[in-house]
Amino acid sequence: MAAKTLLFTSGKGGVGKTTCTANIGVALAAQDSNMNVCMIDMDIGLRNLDIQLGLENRIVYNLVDVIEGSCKVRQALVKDKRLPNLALLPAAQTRDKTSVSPEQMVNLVNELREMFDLILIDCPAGIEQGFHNSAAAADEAIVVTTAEMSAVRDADRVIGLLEANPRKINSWLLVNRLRASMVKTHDMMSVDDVIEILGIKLLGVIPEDEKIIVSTNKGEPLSLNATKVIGAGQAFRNVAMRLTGVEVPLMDIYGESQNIFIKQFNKLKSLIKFK
Amino acid sequence: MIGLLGWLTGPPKDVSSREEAKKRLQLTIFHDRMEVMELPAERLNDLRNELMEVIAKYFEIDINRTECTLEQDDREVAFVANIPVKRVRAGG
Repeated sequence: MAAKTLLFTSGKGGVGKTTCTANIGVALAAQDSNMNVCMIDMDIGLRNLDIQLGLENRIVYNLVDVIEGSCKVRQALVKDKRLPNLALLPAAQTRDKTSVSPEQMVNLVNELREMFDLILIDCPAGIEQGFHNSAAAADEAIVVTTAEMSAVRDADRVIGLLEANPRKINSWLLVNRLRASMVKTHDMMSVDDVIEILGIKLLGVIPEDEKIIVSTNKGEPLSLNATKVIGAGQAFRNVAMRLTGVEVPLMDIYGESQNIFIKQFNKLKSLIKFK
Repeated sequence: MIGLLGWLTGPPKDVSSREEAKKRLQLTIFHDRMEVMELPAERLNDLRNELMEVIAKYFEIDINRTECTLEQDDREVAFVANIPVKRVRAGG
């Protein structure tokens, strides 16, 4: 039962890759206590997944220590006390991306595949070695983008690189930080626009939500205790459910009264089914 | 009130920034993809000329009305040539 490995990538930095990885990982572990989830921070030198998860004080060893043989992989894994079936393999903070090769990553992930049911890799920004190391070990990719021009352009580049990989890695679209009010006034591209441009299947839409900042401040991913029905926390949970094969309609980010948008979203619903 | 009016009358008549973003992005990404495929404009022109030479062996074509473009559908790019044929050349 080798675990599937999903890569969270975007090309551009600052679109919310780490936030999406943390929240979706937590939601996956929370929805099924029998599913063992491992998250790997590949941003060597600029690690942040640990703070998003509130696990920064519990790191002893890191990914580079494991690769270099300074410790066993089990020693480097940080278990989440809130969710015993969730573990983080932290990045090294004082090294750089060249400390690891794609072959070493493949071997490391293969070892983890036997220990977990699902592996999420948080890819660093850019398309250099950190990206190649991450892609080498991934089965499928979740391309995170906002509905902004530079983010979408960089997402297209990343999708192209994943397609060009000899293993032809499939990409799913995750639109993050959507500002419904601006889409309504035609001041921002819609999810439909982004799908049309990128030409890949939609996995989910995460609305802009101020609560994300508060939850990061506390080191408690929003998807862990979100109570709002319409908000980023629930949207992340919906994505987690889709990843496990449950069909979940898109959240009504635009509000009930905007019938024209609901129609557009209903059209999209048929597109959304992961595997 | 203005917001409500805007909603009732639909998108503004002049091009919205959303439309502008979409158009600029589509064009930029198309060029990005061509660059990745290492097919600059002059190479495309060479292809067109060589193609015409070959086709002209078999058909008499209207060279001024030929159109060669790259079109994209989802993530696939297609080379589309529209070549009006006047008559078939005799086999030789």
